[in-house]
Amino acid sequence: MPITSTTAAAAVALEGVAKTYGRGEGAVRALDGVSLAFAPGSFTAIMGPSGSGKTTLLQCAAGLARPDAGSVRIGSTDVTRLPERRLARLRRRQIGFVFQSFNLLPSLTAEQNTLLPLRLAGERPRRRVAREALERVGLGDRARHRPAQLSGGQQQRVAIARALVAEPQVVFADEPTGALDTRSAREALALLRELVDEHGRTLVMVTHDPVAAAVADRVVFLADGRLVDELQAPPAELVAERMTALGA
Amino acid sequence: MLLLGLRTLRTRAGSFAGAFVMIAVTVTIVAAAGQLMATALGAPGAGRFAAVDAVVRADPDVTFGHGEDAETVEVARSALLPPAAVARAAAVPGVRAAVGDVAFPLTAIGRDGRPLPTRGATPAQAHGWPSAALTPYRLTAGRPPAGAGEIVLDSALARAGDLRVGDRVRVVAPGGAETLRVSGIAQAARDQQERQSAAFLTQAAAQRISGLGDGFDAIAIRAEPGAGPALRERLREAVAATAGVSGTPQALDRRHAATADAGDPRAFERVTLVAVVASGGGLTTAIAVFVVAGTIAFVVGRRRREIALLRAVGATPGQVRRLLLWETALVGLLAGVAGCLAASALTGTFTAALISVDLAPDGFAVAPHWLPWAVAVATGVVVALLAALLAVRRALTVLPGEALVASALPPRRLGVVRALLGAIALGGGLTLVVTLSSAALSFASLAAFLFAIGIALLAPLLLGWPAALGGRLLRGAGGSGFLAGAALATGRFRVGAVGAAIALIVALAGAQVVALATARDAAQRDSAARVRAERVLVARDGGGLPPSVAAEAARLPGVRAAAGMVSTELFLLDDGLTNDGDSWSAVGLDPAATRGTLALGVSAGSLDAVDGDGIAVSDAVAEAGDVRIGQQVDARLADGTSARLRVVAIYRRQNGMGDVVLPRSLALPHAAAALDAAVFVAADDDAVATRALAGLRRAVPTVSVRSRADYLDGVDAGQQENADAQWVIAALMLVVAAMAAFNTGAMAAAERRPELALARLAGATRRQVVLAQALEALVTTLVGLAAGAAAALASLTLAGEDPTGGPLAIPLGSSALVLATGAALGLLGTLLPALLVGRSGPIARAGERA
Repeated sequence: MPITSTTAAAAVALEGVAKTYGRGEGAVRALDGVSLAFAPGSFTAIMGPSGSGKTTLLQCAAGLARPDAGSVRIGSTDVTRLPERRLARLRRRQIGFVFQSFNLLPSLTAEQNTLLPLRLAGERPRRRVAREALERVGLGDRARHRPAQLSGGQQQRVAIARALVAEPQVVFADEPTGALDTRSAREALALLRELVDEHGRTLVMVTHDPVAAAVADRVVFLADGRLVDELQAPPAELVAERMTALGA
Repeated sequence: MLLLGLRTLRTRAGSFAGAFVMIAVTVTIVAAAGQLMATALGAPGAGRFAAVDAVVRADPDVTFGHGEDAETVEVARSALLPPAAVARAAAVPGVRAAVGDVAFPLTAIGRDGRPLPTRGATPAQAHGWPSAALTPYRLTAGRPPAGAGEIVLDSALARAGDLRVGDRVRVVAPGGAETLRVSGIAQAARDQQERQSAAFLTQAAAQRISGLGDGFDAIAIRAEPGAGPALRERLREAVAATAGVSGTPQALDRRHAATADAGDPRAFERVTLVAVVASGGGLTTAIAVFVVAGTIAFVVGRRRREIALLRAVGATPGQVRRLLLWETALVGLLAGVAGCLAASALTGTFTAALISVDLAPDGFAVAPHWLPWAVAVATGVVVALLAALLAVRRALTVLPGEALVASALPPRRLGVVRALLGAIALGGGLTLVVTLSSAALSFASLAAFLFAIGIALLAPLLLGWPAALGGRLLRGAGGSGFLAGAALATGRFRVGAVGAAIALIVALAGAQVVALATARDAAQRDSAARVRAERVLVARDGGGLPPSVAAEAARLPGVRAAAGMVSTELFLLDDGLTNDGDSWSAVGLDPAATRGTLALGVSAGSLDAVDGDGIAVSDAVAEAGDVRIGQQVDARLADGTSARLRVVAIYRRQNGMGDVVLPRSLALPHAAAALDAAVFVAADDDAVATRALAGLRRAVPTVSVRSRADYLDGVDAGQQENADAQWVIAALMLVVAAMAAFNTGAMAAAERRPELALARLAGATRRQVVLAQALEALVTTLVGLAAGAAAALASLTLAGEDPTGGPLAIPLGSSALVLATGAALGLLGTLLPALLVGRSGPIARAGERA
């Protein structure tokens, strides 16, 4: 299967990335030489059966884990060589995260969680900024609530608001709809789509849900640590068909 | 980061509870210790000399060494000043009046033949009548004593004995027993009367029955108005120039005047109190740092996801560290304030406890000072920060990627730093035991403490592996055994933490108990070999007997010999003999009288030569300074008087008696009081002697006749105050260690919760789960007990090299108590939280990550 080669101005570019967990007999090759590029302003879904290495791929692409081989560039920076402190700075302003669950610090309110990356950077943003972002995601009246008082979907949306405020170039989402009911899932996906269409972010989303993948511009398939297929703006049924074929 | 820390504390207050309580308790102890020390070290006040401006006494300093290495100690009671010194002092410009003061113990006997109860130290102190104006004591009835047979009592004594003006009262003083007429009753301010009981005689009578001749203990000065501090300098010079005065006299201002009053409770061994309280506070703080570090590390472990999220959102490792430090510092601050509040509420209790073990005198009352509060709060914050620094390393190993991955806890390995520290602690304990074997008993607790810390640091290894082995054995024992066995095999860190707390308790208490029993045994063994007399006379109120009693007893029918023994101390200034800047305990004996009554086990020289300037020393002293027979030594007697003495004999059986034997005639005039601590009586005819001694007792009512067996039972191990002091420290340690046990137990239970919930879902009944936890607690406790006992015994392996020791004596009763306490605390600490935690339903807990 032809894999799209890297373009000069990719938002995120992986080149020959490999990562192995464990040692000796129990060693698992999570990623086996993956090269992949994400164009700026694109929405890419990464799919694959469990154990295919998609979470590892996301970790390496996002600079959360160091690959054993290969390089990862975010913008023009090679994150595989950066020390922790520089990586931390990247995570505040260049990279945003939306997780499946546990997105928010339990001791902070929605408002404070939204502003967290900026506060970590030492800035003192106006509360208005957080309010506006929360309103965008439909949680304007829940600004002072703590995560314990919000539903899973609402927590997800706060994480998206956080990604709005910090204005990162790339947002990485890990199974963002995995723990949500269909309605909340639809709302979350709409917001993610808005991030890309209206705010020009690059979105990389790992998912196992064909419906979620169908929202993306491009779906890449992973199996046994390797890229095996790629579809451009496929409908959900095609995604599901490819997934079944991979699993067989 | 500070704000984030504040908010985290607010929402997660419960997880910090363990650390909070531990720090608060530590701060309470440190604050109380600080206040006690501040009061003990503060100016003692005027005491009995409240109405004077200055007090002069003979040079109280004993200086060891020279120049820069010189160490100076003060004797409790300085030498007497000659009468001429009073006149000299009175002649100093700026002095309005100079009054000579004497003080000596006097026991008043009640109508029932028993000594009257006194306030403060026993017995009461007697003075010449001119001293009454110094406090002042004012007459409330009758008149001052006019002749040799009259006495004035303070109102409390008079009330206690139901005595009125004109009554006759029998008194016993160093000069002997006399019957005096109460000529008057005097009263001083209430707090002075609470501190010591007083009686007054004419100056001449006082000097006569004090047994000390016509000198004075102190000269009290009333100054002209406007006479400044230079007056004290002039007084010093004038008195120093008087014939018969050696050294530089000490001139005290009113704030320190009580130091010159030997009967004042504040003239007590302040050094001991300060040392005990300081080491108690210090050791507590050290243990607290470890326990709090464990608590914080545990909380960090439970916050892994949160920390991973922070890292993913852009926090640097440094910011994470700062967050944890801020949180912990805030906990430390709050706990510090709480601890100070608790300390101020509990000061009375602590003081009472110290008084009851004789570390502080009756009437010792804490005068709160602001500095100990500040130090205590600072200690709370410092403990918290140190603990956080130790624990934060675990937080920094959290990878941001963990925010994505639902991983099990990474396998824990014993860190290199921790292992190294543990090895150092064990090594330190070993070094202590080997190099300080000659003082093995005194250092046993410290060595045991070091061993226990080493065990705690290496606990996953030293305790975890044996426990895992024990768990293997349990696997066959049904469902609960299987669960328990598996838990023990995998939970080495958890088992180690709980077991270490138990080991600490058993090690400290065990070392204490065995050390004391060994010392006591050694003292009793030596004493049994030494005391040949069938009867021993002692003073009923614990003071001493007039020297005349020994002479009287020797003359009684049926008595072969009677030896009076003066209890005192001696300072030796030569290199090697200084006893680390402390005095040697000494006795005064008449060698002729020891034949038949005491067998000292003389190994060189002859006891008969103990006369004039000849002294005998124990083999401990001889070894310490490589002393030979005939050697001259530079000495200071108990009141600081210089003496050049000659070693004429070396003896073996010093335990329970003293390390130096002085001639009685030399010891008596310079001792704290001219009294015999005991009189050893050897009888030709027991029946006759007993009857005669009864008659002696009627004549001198403070005499108590003991059989040899009774006397040996009560023999002082030579370190009795040290023993009580060590018990105070040990009690503090135990409280802290018990808290550590509860803390770790609670954490262990919380850690186990999800696992056990899973077991319930798999089909285990609640009883099986509880039994599994009980078995686990049992094995953990046994391992902890064994380790603690090993540490305690290891700390005492070389007790035989200590002159105050010998073969280890392991008292069954106390040892069983120590083991039982350790077991109880360990089991309670693990089971109680486990049972409480087990109440919530299984389903809710099953999905929870540890």
